[in-house]
Amino acid sequence: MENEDEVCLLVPPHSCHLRAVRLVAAEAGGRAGLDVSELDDLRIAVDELCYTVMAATDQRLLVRVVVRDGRVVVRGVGQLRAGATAPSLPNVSELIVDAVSDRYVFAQDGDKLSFVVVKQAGRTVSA
Amino acid sequence: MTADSPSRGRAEPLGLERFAEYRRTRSRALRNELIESHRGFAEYLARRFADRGEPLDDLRQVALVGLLKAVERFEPERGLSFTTFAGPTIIGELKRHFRDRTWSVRVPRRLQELSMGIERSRAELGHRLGRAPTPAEIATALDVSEEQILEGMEAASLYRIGSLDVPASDRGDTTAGDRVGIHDSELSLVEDRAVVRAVMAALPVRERQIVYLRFFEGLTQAEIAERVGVSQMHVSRLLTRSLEALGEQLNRWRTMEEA
Repeated sequence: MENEDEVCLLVPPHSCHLRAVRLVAAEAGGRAGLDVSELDDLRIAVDELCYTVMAATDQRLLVRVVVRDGRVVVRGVGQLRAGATAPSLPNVSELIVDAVSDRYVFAQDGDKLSFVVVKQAGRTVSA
Repeated sequence: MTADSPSRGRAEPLGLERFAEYRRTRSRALRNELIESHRGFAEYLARRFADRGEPLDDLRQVALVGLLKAVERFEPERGLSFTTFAGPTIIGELKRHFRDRTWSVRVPRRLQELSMGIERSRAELGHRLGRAPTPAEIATALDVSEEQILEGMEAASLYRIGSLDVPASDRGDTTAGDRVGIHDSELSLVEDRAVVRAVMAALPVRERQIVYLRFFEGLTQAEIAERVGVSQMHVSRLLTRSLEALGEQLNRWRTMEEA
């Protein structure tokens, strides 16, 4: 395993499983020292990104969550449904993820759709 | 799962039936439409908090997150209009943003709240006691230990230590530093002139005129002698006497001020 502290989830592409992803991300956020508002932000970002990938795949998503230096990094990847065109992040989702995360990437690489989102502890209270 | 199509552009606010539909279906496309159609409202609230030292773009983002939370929680069957429900939610987000942002370094929420409690208690007790309360009195009032009060006061010192280089408005044309006052030497000159005017009033008319022509108009002693119709020697004597009298008067003013 690349990182011994990394938590990996294989998530079926149904929105009912978003809760599990949010819970795991929030638990990691707690370990990273995120406050409750930052945890809320992380949950929203992960939810938006995962949902968009889920909508374009019929296979399980691989979600990896890692905590390092007061920061949570959540990566997700899913295989595009055969014949499907890669969706872009909806305008509203883009605005939301941009507002609640410190950094994020949503990208297509061949038949894979992936995202990375980073949330840093203490960002909401630093000058 | 049904793939939702993203909505684009802003529309008129959608009615309660669409919120009810969203409650039933939880369709992302509909949720996005609901958000888009109320973004103007979020923008309006964000602007109400503008010019308080936070960039408007940040406030827009905070208001958008508030709007998202409001859309998620809104229950149309309760009979409230969406804006009535969403307003406090969005404003709450904006206030939380300001509360968090005004702490210059990371301070645990527990300490932030404690130090706010200390400030409130300080004002209330100060008013009631007619003097500044002691840490022990504040500790009793807040039902915490004196040590915690001291910790909270230490945290309070971290409140709003900002850079003078941050923009003071969203337009970015001034910085916080531009708004900080500086020592104005002209201001103390104004004060000095007022004192000089007062002590000059005590001089005889001709001496006052000579002092005025010499020091305010910048005339030479010879020019003053010609203007007033006396010898230059006499102007010199009158000036010396007047300056001594002015010096005495000024010393009296200083003594009065120091007392």
